[in-house]
Order: sequence, then structure tokens, then C-alpha cells
Amino acid sequence: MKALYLNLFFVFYYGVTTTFAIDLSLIKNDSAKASISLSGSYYSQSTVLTNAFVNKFILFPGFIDEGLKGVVSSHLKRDNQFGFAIDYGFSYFQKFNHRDFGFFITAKDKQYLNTKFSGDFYNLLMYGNKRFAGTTAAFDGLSLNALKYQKLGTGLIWTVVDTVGKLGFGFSYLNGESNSSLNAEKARLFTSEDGQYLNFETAMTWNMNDTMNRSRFANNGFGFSADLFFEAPFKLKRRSGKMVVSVEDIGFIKWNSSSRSYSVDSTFYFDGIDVSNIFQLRDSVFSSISADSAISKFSNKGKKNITTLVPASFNFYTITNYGKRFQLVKGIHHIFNANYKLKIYANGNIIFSINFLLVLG
Amino acid sequence: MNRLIKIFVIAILFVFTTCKKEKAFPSWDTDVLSPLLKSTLTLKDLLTDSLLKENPDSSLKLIYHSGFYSLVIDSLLTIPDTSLKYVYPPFPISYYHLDSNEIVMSNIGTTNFNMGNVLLSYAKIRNGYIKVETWNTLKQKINVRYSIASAKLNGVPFAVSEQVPAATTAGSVYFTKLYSLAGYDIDFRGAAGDKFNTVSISVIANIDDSVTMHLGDSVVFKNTYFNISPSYAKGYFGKDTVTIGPAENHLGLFDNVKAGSLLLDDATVKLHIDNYTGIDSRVQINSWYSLNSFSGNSVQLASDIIGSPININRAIETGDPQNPVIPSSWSTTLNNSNSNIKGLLENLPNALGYSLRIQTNPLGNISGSNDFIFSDRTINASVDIEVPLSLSAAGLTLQDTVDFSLQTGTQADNVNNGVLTLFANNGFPFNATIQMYMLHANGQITDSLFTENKTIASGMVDANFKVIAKKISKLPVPLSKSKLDLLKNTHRMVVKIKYDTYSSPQLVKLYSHYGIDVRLVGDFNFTVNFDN
Repeated sequence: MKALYLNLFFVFYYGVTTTFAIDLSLIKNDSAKASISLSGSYYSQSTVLTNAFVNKFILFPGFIDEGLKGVVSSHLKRDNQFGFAIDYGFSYFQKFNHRDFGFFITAKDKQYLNTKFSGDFYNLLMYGNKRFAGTTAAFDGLSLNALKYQKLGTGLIWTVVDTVGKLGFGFSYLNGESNSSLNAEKARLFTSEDGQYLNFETAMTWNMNDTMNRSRFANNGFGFSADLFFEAPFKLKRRSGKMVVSVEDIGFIKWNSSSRSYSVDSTFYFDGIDVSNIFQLRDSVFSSISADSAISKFSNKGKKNITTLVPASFNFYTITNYGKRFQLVKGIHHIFNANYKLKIYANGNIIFSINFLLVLG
Repeated sequence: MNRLIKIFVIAILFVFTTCKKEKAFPSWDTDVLSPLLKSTLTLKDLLTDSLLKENPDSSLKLIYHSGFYSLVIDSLLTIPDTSLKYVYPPFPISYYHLDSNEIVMSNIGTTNFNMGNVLLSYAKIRNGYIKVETWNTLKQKINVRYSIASAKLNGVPFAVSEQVPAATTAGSVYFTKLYSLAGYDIDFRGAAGDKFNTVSISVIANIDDSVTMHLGDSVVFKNTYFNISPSYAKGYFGKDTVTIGPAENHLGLFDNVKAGSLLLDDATVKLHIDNYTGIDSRVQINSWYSLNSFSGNSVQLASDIIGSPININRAIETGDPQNPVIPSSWSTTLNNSNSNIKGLLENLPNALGYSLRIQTNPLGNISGSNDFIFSDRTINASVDIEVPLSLSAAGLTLQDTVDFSLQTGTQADNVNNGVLTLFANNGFPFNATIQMYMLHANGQITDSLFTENKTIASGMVDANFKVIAKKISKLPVPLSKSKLDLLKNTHRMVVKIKYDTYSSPQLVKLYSHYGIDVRLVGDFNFTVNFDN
């Protein structure tokens, strides 16, 4: 039977996590020879940022008012985290004739951003340094990682393992589009009471790919990854179900030699731009100063090959059937290399028909 | 099934078309407190067009040089525009047949320049022209060769050949041409070398082909020297008197002073007169005064040199092209004991006025007509002003207009409002009251920067009025949105500073280490916008 299988998955937790996924598969039944699947997902998680804040910041950018800022500020802890992942793509599965296994090919565009920050960092960024006049804003341990790459992979799936299970593995080529990674072991900004000077103590490194090559799907590096998948049915206390274990994107990207690495371990004292005549102010006084020139002046920099481990996703869950219309899903999920916190979750599926599934969670 | 596929395709198209909308960016308001600019101003920064000299005790004195008069060569030597004319035939002829190549004019003549009692023997021409004109009524072309044997450029005599067109049935033909004499050396002593103010010329003209001449036909040739100006001249330049002035010459020392008073402890002015001409001169200074055009005050110099003749010998010609003249110089020093020169400077002048009389060759032609003059080296008068910076200022107001631009399209656009604070750590022994006015491109004042005049307090002084510690003053400038908009349209600013020395009229010395540290701190409400 040909069918269009639509799986919409929404999970919204106020102030913590947002998940949105769409999986649209043109499939035949389990004995069919081929299937095509289009999928996309957006996932964000934070220990402090609210959905409304993230929406204004990333999804539907706009003006972030005092109310939005304040709600987040009131929940700040010493260490706070935020991350999001976006991926979309397609996959094709072809089963070999008269065999229990087939192959698949897949192409995906993936983007990750994650950060770990202190409360002072948030307040400094969103409220400015004036509220820190006479004190120090400390944001030791600040990290920010932004990664974008494309994945082109292939693999095999055994559709019958141990009579009814499934086992698959894949191997992918990764095209590194962009990478930026900042890690501040130490970062403290002191603002004098009257604003006459700033003192910034820091020890940080910043790696980034070639900024001259920023086009869509630009090739600034390459790498490889592997995926593993195992599914096994079970029956427990007269209830049937299945157990799924998957590990996705165990791999790396090696960025090309145009990538840059900046490191700084110093204290910067700033008490104004020195001008020879304060009464002769022109734009040129300020235009001579740029972020690039400041970074170049105060940091050790170099072009070098940088290798990044891509965030690897681990998922283990079970699906237990409760009658023909309801399923209970329980599992754990973790993303490595992404400032992610292990998630233990449970949600339910209401099955209206073979073609429509409502996920509750 | 097909319907589901259509919905899916439409949904995908919707996603991609909405993605093509203009990219939006997050933004939010923050309060930024940050130093912006800093500068240390010493007297070297505050005084313009001047030179400060440090005394052994590190006190300062001001040294200022200014030329106030330079004689122009035209005052001594003017070569007037002069013409010479030849006519052929010299008398009317009713009929005459001219053969081919027959010479119609062959004259060697002299041009005499009327220069009064000046006896010019030689000149190198800086600029000037000779204009050659020919009127021809003959129905045939005429070949003319014109030469001045005594005018040479790099040793080659001036010589030109031209063909004058034939007259037409409509009438005579007028032919003219202009030749530059710039760079020529001209001997004005005539063909035999025994005259002055005289130049020999040669004109030869022949008919190009045979023609018959009738009554009234003629060939007229005319040459005119005009706008002749020498870069060097030799001869005798006469016994003459040149009266100069009253005239005023700009003095840049107190240009920006608009009001107030200044008391000085001392002042010295050296007056120099340098004679670079090979002419004996007698100079008489009839008047010398300082003029403050803002107050309208002028102070006349009271000194023995006023009205007294000053004899200055002629310079010596070296023959060295690099340094052709050794001038003859005269100088005198004016100070508190022999003049009121301090009063002239306390007038805060922006001009020096003078009236002179220069008599040349008061003893006649004693050089045997070997006077010389270079156009760029004549008689110059200058002053060297030396003022120890021990002074007292009361309401001394300096005003200057400075360029300013805060262009749009920069981060400054994202400032909503705030306060700009000027921290001034003053190490000078005077208070400074400051105000700045914003000027629109049309020159109109649109607003003042400070809501009221703000005072930077004097540094802390000891019993001798010497600064022992700097004193900090804080001058806030509230910037509303409307004032920020005005600033963005401001292209120039008027800076007005009024100085009052500590315990005026007590004199205070200014030392080389005195200075004022200024720092500009911004306290802004700022919209962070990643779109910018």
C-alpha cells in the first residue's frame, strides 16, 4: 500500500526546551522495496532562556524588551546553558531483491549553536556594563560554539536481525561550511565607578574558519562520521513494544589551513582612545579602530588546521503499545560535544491511523 | 494521496519563499558606561604657529617670528611697454615693380626704454613678451626675419622668421604674433655697448614673388615689448624715495583671542631689516603699532627708532648661483627700558601696522652703475618676539572653530540618549570656562553643547603660585535624542574658552610640565542591533 506518512513532533516546555520536528516519508509497507523520506527538525534547549526570548533572538528576530530580558535575568544561575540544532534533508532506502537488507543514502544540512555562560555575562550583554560600575562582571568559563556542515552518507540496514530486529550503520562525508569556537577560561570586566576606565582580564581562545569564504555550502573543511542504529521488539507483561538505540554523527571535521586561531591571556586597561587634540574629532579617529584590528593587536594569532569533533547524538528509547491507539515512549537522549544536558523523557503517541500519529509530550 | 503531495509541495514552497524575506536581526537596549577619548594638552598643543623655549628653571618663553614687510622689485625698477615701428616705402610711390625675393625692408634699429633716472645695463627676464605686428597691402606674401642680437636664451640670440600673407582684394592683411621672453638675458647697452636702456634689433623683409606696387601700398612693421619683469637687473637704479604704508600685516600670535586682558612680566622684540639689493638704502620708520581688530585698540610704538634714519649698506653680489647675495643687515632690540613694546603685546594684536620711507642711493651713483637687484631678494623687515610666559590673564577668551563630524550610518545612530562627561584634570594655574557651539553646514549656531558655561578649576598652587597638584573637574553634557540629532548635522564647532589666572592680576609663571589631562566618558543608552 502506498502511503504518505506524516509525523509531526512538537514539544514545548516553557522556559526550558523547544523541539519541533517534521518527518515526511513516502513509503510503502514494510515489505516494500524502496522509500524516500524528507525530514527537518529544530531543537533548542536552555537552562534559563525562555522560549519567548529565544524566539526573539533566533527564530523570529526582533526587539527584545525589558520584560523579556527580566524574566530570564530573574532565573539566572551561576552557570547557564543554551543550545540549538537545526537539520533538514532527505534519505532514500532501497531493499535488495530477496534479501533481508538494503542500503540507504542520505543528505542533510546541519547547524549547531551552543553556549555556556554566567549570569554576569547575560546581564552584561543584555543590560550593558553600567550596572557593573564599580564592580566586576565575571564570566569565566564562557564558551560559544557555532558549527555548520553538510552530511552526505550511505549505509546498510538489516531489516531482520534475530528474526524481527533491525540493525543499520552508515558512513558519511562531511562538508565543513563554518565553525566558530570561543572558550574563555577567564574573563572579568571591571568598570570604574565613574566610567573613566575599564579593566578586562581574560584568558581565551577563539578558533574560526576562513572568514573570506562565507558562501552557502562553502567548503572550508571536510570530515567523516559514522551512524549506528539498532531496533529490537520485545514483549513484557503481555505488552508488545520495541527498543531503539541509535548513535548519530560520531565523527570530525578538519578545517583547512586558512582557519584562524586566536589566543589571549592578558589584562587590558582601556581609558579612552588617545587623540592628539580632543577638539579635532573626526570619524577617522574611530574608524581606525575595528574589531579585527583590536583582535590582531592584542592576541596571538595564527593560521592552522583545526579539527572539530561534531556533536554526536545518542538516543535510547522504548515504545510500548497500549492497545491499538496509544503508545508510551520512554527514553534518554544526549548530545556529546555540545554543552548538552542529558535528557530523560517520556511521551505518548495516539495512533489515529497508520498514516497519522499524534505525539503527546 | 495526490492531495497530500500537493499540500506538502505548497508547504515546502511557503517555507522557502518566506526564507527569502529580508533578514531580520535581534536588537535590545543596553546602558553602556565607557571611556571614549583621552588627551593631554600642554602649552605646545594650545599655542599655534609658535615656538616655545624652555628656560633653565623649566619656565617657558614664547618665541615668535614674523616678517612684516618685503619690498617688491617694481618699487625700484619698472621697464615700461615700448614700441618701435618701420614703414616701407618710407615715402609714397605711385608705381613700382618688385622682383621676386626683392628686399623691401632691412633695418637695424634701437629700442629705447624710458625709465627716468634708472640706467639699466642688463636684465634677466622673469616674464614678459615681445609682440610683432605687420600690416601688408601688397598682393604678395612677404618673408620677415626679426632678430635681437642682445637678447639671448642659453647663449642663442632671439631670432624668428615669419611669412606674412598677401593682401586680398578685400584689403590689407594684418599679421601678429606673440613671443615670450621669459628666461632671456638682455643686454640693454645697445649695439656698441656704450648706452643704457637700449636694445638693438634687426628686421629684414623680402617679397616672396614679383608684384607691382601702386600708390598707397605699404608694408608696416611694429614690435612692442610689454609686461617685461626682470628676475635680476643691473645698472643704476636711481636716487629715489619710496613711501610705504600705512599698512598692516597679519600677526598670527593672538589670532584666537577674542576678549579679555593679558598682563606680561616682560617682552622683547628684535626688529631686523635685511638689504639683499645692491643698492645703498636709508630707511625711516615713521610709525609702528599693534592693532587689535576685535577691541579696535591700537598702541603706537614709543621708541627712539621712530623717525630716525637707518642707513643700510648695499649687499654684496657673490657670483655663486646657490647663494648669490650676502645681505647687509641692521637690527635693534626693543624692550621695557627703551620702548613700550610690552604694551604693544598686551594689546593682544592680530596685526602689526607700519609706515616706512625708503631712500635708494642717497649718495648717488657711487657704484658706477653696478647696482643689482634680484626680484626674490629685496629689502625685508621682520620681528622676533620673545615673551617670558609669566603673565596674568583676566577673562582672556580664546575662540576657534574646529571641524566636527559624526556621520550617520555608524554605531552613533544607535545611541538613544545619555550623558557625555568631560573629566578635566587641570595642571595649569588658571581656571578655564568652556562652552562649545554646534554649527550647521550653513554656518548657523544650532545649539550649545553644555547647558551652561562650565568651569575647569585651576590646579592647586603654592605661595609662589606654582602648581603643586592637578585638580579634577567634571563637566557633564546631557545628550537628549534631539541634541544627538543636532550633533549628527553638525559639521563644525565653535570652541570658546575663557582663562583667568589664579589670583589675577598676580603674575604666574608657566612651566613646561604644566598640562591638562582630559578624558571623555560616555554614559549611553544604546540599542544593540546586529543589523549594523
